[in-house]
Amino acid sequence: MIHIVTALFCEAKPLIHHYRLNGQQAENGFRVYENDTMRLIIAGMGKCAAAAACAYLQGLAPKKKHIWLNLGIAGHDSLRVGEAILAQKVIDAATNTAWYPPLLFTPPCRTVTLISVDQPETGYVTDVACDMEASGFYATAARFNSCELVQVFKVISDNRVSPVQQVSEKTTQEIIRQQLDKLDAIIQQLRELEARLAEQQRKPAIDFFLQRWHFTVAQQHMLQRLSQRWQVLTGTALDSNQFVAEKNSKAVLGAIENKISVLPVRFD
Amino acid sequence: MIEAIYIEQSVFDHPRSKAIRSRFSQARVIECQRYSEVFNPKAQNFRLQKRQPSLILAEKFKHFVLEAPLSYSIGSQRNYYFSHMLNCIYDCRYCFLQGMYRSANYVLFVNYEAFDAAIEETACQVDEPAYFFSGYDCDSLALEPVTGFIKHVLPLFRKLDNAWLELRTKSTQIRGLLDVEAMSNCIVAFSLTPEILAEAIEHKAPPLAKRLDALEKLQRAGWPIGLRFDPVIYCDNYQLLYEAFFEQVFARIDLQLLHSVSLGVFRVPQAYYRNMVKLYPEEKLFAGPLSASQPVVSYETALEREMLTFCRTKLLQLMPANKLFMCHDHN
Repeated sequence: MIHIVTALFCEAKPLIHHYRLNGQQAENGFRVYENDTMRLIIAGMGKCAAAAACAYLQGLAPKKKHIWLNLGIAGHDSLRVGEAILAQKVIDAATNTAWYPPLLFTPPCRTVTLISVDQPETGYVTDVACDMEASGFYATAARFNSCELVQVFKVISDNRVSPVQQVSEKTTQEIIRQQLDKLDAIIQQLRELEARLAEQQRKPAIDFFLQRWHFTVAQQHMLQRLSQRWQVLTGTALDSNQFVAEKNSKAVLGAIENKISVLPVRFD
Repeated sequence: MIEAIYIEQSVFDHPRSKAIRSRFSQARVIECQRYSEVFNPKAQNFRLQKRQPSLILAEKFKHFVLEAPLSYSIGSQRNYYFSHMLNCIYDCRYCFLQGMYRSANYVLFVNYEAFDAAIEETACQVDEPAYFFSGYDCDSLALEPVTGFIKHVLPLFRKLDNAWLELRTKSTQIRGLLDVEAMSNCIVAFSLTPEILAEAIEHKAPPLAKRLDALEKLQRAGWPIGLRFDPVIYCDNYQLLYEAFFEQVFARIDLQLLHSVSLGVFRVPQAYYRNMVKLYPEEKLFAGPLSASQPVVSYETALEREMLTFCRTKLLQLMPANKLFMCHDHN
């Protein structure tokens, strides 16, 4: 699942249309829109709101790993209004803490340093984009997945010649809508990374063993690893029927180990 | 290809940082306070990052030279190692670095002069031969065209009477060595593995034939050569494989220029091993007959002894015993 955190509804609206996201019943403090592969939350402004929204989204499917994207608008001294950026460094202005989202793909847009401030800024720092959410988002979302899958995507809404006072809901929607192709490209790259990570973290099925015998948690881990080793060395899944004669979990683990110990190990 | 370079603020304008930046002029440049901000965060995936590692240019402040375990000795009681770089461009599945570090990015410490001072000071403090190993946390030569570290440090060792330098490598980047006069106190030690195993588990490393070619060129140029059969990897036909392999290697070796051979089986600290299995659960190397309950994970004791005895016997048919060193990490 892709989790997207925006601050404002006007930032979210182009995505809601583009990805055909359906609004969920607002039982709590956040508005969430989703389809089968994506969940979008409107956090409100500020890093605390962004952090809370991340935690809220993760709470909807707490055992799963998700792709995380913070999408919104940002100011920059010189980049043109409407230009898309990915954050290569996120700085929290209040604490001077920095995060470095690893970009393991060729970005479809410029990458810049992004500083998250607590109050709206009217001044501009050279070559640095400015927002109010990314640091809260990143600090929280990076707790829930490997940071290669946590990214910050912004569209420049204002600069020195077109200051923040000129930003409106309408222009925000429009500049984000115009960069949806880049967002699509980023999402596709992140999905590929997610698939690789999922492959790496895929556990062999041990349900049949668990139905037949009682395994402690530690024993379940041992069983998982033995199943993996069996699969690697034989190319087949471990079949619980081979061990029906065993009386308990300890005996099952011992029997599997014995079988594995005589399997050939070849690299050719 | 390096797509991103992180540079510590303190070395942003260092001449070596500038040279490396200009070499990778297309790379994104990102300034950081300390390399650890990029390298150490927990939620990183080494395997994913290995697809496209970035380069981090940093300054090292302490622990330039550290004592190496006596079990790694190749003939001296005084053994030290230093790491001008962390991580390696190769992707060998047995390598402990993937279990030790969270990030696959390469860290290069650009203040080479501080390493020089520490090496010189250490060498001067001892009155017996001191060995300095450079290939502990990285391959000594693989990134030499970028770092130029070995080119920098060789003149220092030329003037140190009691100091020996070991360059441990799988690389064929030997031009820098061939361009200068061979040094009797610099051992170029090649890590070698039978071809079938190298193809299966030494990803991105030069094939065995290329390594042997490089070794032979250096030998002809007069450089002392080291052979590192470490780790020896178990497989069903390991005896056939290693016997043929040793013969293949020694057919290219001039025993006069052979400095040392070291031999050890696959072994890795338990904590690193756990990380390595998490990263590569489908790896055959980790599915084999390893004893994972000890502080150092290795083959079961009887098998380890059998493998070492077999390899040692075969090696001693090809080389003198006084040049063979056994590597152990006792539990």
